[in-house]
Amino acid sequence: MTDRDLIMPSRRAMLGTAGRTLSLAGIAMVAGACTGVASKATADETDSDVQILNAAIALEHEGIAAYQIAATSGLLDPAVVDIGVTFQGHHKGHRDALVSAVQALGGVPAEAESLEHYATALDAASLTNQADVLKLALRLETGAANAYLGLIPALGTDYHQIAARMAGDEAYHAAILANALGEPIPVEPLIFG
Amino acid sequence: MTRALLRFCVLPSALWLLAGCGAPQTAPALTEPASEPPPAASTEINPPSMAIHISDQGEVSEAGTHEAGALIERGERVYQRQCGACHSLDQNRVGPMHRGVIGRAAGTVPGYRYSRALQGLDLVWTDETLDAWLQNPSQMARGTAMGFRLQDAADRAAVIAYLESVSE
Ligand code: HEC
Repeated sequence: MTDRDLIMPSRRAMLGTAGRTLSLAGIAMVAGACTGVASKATADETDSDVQILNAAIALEHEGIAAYQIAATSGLLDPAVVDIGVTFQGHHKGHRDALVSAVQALGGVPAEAESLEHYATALDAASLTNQADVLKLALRLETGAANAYLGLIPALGTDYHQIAARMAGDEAYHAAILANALGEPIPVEPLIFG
Repeated sequence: MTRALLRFCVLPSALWLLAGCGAPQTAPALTEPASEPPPAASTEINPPSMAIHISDQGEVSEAGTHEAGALIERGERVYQRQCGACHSLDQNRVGPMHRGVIGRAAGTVPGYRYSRALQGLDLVWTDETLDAWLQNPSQMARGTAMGFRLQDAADRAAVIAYLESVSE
């Protein structure tokens, strides 16, 4: 509920500007110059944007599945399950916002794979206790925060803020998980990115 | 000749950087007038590391193996933190699996659904092609699904060394 309230305004903002944003025109032109292929205007750029956003959707699908696998693993204290379900809700919100963006660009959003696929991909069979699960979640959340930060330069400027907000959410998750694992607070600044 | 010149130019600018970075925030409180201690400290730290950095370009020094080990370790950390949301060594996830990537043709991991852009990318992954890829994937293969860029050159070198170490 709360997630929705938080996500909706940005989604609306995204939809409103989707038509003229997310353009990778500069990059496409450079690529065209390098490969000798003439830059072919917006269809290519839009395709590129859709591809990149779909990779982010795939990342969110995996995150949602990871929390699902964790919550039903029987390895977690009930209080930890609650936190995991809340974090999973955030990832669903991210997925929904990204799906809307892809649709607004006329693309087809990436579908989720089966839970078994993710269990294999994440080697869920190797998880034997709560700390294992928390470490996996921390690894994924840290990676996701960094992934969004690294995507920003590839996205049109109007999308920078939403990508940064998602990175912020993932960093928040990572901090909670690191704290739960008793990890020391990083001494150096610029922890992510 | 050029090397000496480079060293000459780099050193002062490194010192300047040190002063520039350290000073604005900490100097008023910690360094006080900044008259005597900085030169001593910075001559100790800077000349060796800068000199090594410049003279070692492209060649393996005597200390090479040790440095290579440290580089690979750093690369593994970078890989986990920067690539780990999308890639694993042995599983296709958001992106394709990476073990053996050095020396492999782009877009050829079995069972991974590549974008058309990557399917059409006609090259083999080497130190050089990977470095260019990580700087800006879209520039190499317009329409690729990997938008992520690794901006830090040292991080790129480390992660490439790591991928090399798992590709042997
Ligand atoms: C946001 C997710 C994401 C992140 C983070 C990411 N990648 Fe990728 N990567 C992808 C996707 C998706 C593809 C497939 C691209 C395509 O099909 O167009 C890919 C493809 C690749 C390829 C081509 C592999 C092949 O089989 O041809 C290499 C090499 C690569 N990535 C390296 C890296 C490295 C190294 C990092 C970390 C520094 C990294 N990637 C970070 C999503 C990501």
